[in-house]
Amino acid sequence: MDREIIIQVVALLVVAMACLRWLPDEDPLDPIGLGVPWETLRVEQQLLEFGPSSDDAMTFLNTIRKAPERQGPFRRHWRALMQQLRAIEADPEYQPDTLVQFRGIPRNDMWPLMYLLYPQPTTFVSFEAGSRPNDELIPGAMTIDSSLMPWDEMTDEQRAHLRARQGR
Amino acid sequence: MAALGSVLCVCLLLGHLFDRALLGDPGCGALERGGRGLALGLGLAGGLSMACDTFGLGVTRVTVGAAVALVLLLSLVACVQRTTPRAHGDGRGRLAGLSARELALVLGLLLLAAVGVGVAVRSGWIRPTLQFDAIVRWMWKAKALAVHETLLGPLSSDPAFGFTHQRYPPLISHVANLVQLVHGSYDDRLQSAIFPWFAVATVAMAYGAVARRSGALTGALAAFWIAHLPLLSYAMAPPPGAGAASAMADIPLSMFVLGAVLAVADALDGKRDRAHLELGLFLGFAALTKNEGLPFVALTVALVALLGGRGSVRRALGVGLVGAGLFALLWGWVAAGLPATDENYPAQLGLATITVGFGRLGTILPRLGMSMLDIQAWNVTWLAVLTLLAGSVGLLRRPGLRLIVLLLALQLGTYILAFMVTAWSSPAAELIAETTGVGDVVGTLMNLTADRLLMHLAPAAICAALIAAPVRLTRAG
Repeated sequence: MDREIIIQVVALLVVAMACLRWLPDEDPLDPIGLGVPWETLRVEQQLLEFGPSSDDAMTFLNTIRKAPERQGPFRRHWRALMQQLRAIEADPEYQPDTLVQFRGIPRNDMWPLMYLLYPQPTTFVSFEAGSRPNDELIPGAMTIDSSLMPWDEMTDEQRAHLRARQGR
Repeated sequence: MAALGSVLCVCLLLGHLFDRALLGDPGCGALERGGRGLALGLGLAGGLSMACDTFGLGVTRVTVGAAVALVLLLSLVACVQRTTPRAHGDGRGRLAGLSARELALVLGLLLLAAVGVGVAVRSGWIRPTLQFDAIVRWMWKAKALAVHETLLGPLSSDPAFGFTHQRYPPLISHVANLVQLVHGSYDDRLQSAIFPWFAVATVAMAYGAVARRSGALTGALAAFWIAHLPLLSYAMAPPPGAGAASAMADIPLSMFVLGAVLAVADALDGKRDRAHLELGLFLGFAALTKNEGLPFVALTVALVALLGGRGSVRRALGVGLVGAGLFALLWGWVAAGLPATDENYPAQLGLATITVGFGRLGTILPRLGMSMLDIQAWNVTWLAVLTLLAGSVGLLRRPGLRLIVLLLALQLGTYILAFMVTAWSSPAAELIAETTGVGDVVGTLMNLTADRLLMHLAPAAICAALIAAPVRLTRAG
């Protein structure tokens, strides 16, 4: 097979493979489930229905990659966190220099919340660093408490941290 | 939308005028000029914002606006005064000489390429920032710029903010902040919506440069291929997501890498005047985008010195002066005084660490291979690139193409070296390694990062493969 033919075959393969991705993901012609573009478009359609900048949109985005059986607990957890954040912002005593204390919030949830609150001063102690929902309140601080998930709803990383801190 | 549109138009104008004034008009088509103009403009505007911050002027509408206006004015004056030379070219990129069948194919592929980047642009407009690294590294710094008008405040100096990786070069945070400067207030979704336009510039540059060398059909295929890379256009997985709409720095870096690679090929093959200057600029922007840009600068300078032909050492020094100088001037000396809270790879490069790291190759190389063969992430890209290059070994006598292939291979080698010496860990990775006995920490890191690193090289590799192996409908000669 000469070189020109090989190049044409490779080009056809590249184009065909890229086009195959656009088959709807439940199409019989897409038996290996390559139709990822349609999943992305469905996610974005849902975001448009929520309102792209809304808390519902953020909750949805932060949980869509969880396994289906874990999405419920994660969404409850995120909704609870966002409700507390908005309650703080709506509090008449909330000032730009009011300290926001995180209690028992996992690190991967705490940092995005800190980003939303920035430049509000916050505590930096995550669940993995030892913070717990029943930590002593810092005077004058407003708190965001974790709706701490049961053990079987935690991620592997959270369990690893908890074991490490318990010396196991 | 008006704020985003304004920023993009200004960047396009800035880059295009700068290109014409300083770098010369290579006689290429509108798409390539537009793509290169947008790429240069995003780098220049972000760099000017960085300069305002580094030299204590503050990042405000007035300071950045004045800096951009000054460069625009100087570029305009220079454009009016000079007669730009037509570069070499043989008209292969022009559509006028194509048959009806070829023209239909070219236009069809370009239209499909527009769909691919259009998906990313739409996603960037709709989605708020999701990716974890995008939030804590790049968008957090963009917010700090909006709030404090500088990055050189508590966010950079307080070790408690070490998780933002304070020493990471912040060019794209400055670019994202440009939208805030026009809009007047911080809006996460609006500012992150600029990121897909790096992909638009990448696709346009790829089309034009490949079309100039290998014909419009091959150029259109390059544009289509890059625009439909799943990890660029639409895939939100594998983690942590490398897509153009993800507000991560990987696509911007891949754009500057592509610009540098195309410039160096044009320089060595004598296709354009002053391509070495453009190469230096793109190298500097790459180094200001991600730490991975720094070894890329060093490798490019070394290869230009070794393979650049007559006067190569002088040219390499010039390229290095521009590229490394840009980095040092705008960020290097600032970063040297910041807390070292990132992985700090240069500190790991000891002989003992590297020697121990050889033991990790048994994990690194297979996983890298598996990443490249992952259809969900790459379709058949890497197989196709390697096939086209393998069948074009004789053409690697062309100095530009030979340098590109060597450069990309060596850059991949630096990523392998980084995996060999990394001290990265996480409790989850250690737990998996401990309980399963088969995975290890490096494997976990590779699952999270290998595809992003490959994305830095993918557009350039695709262009190199298609320049080496042009597609023709009829047999040549």
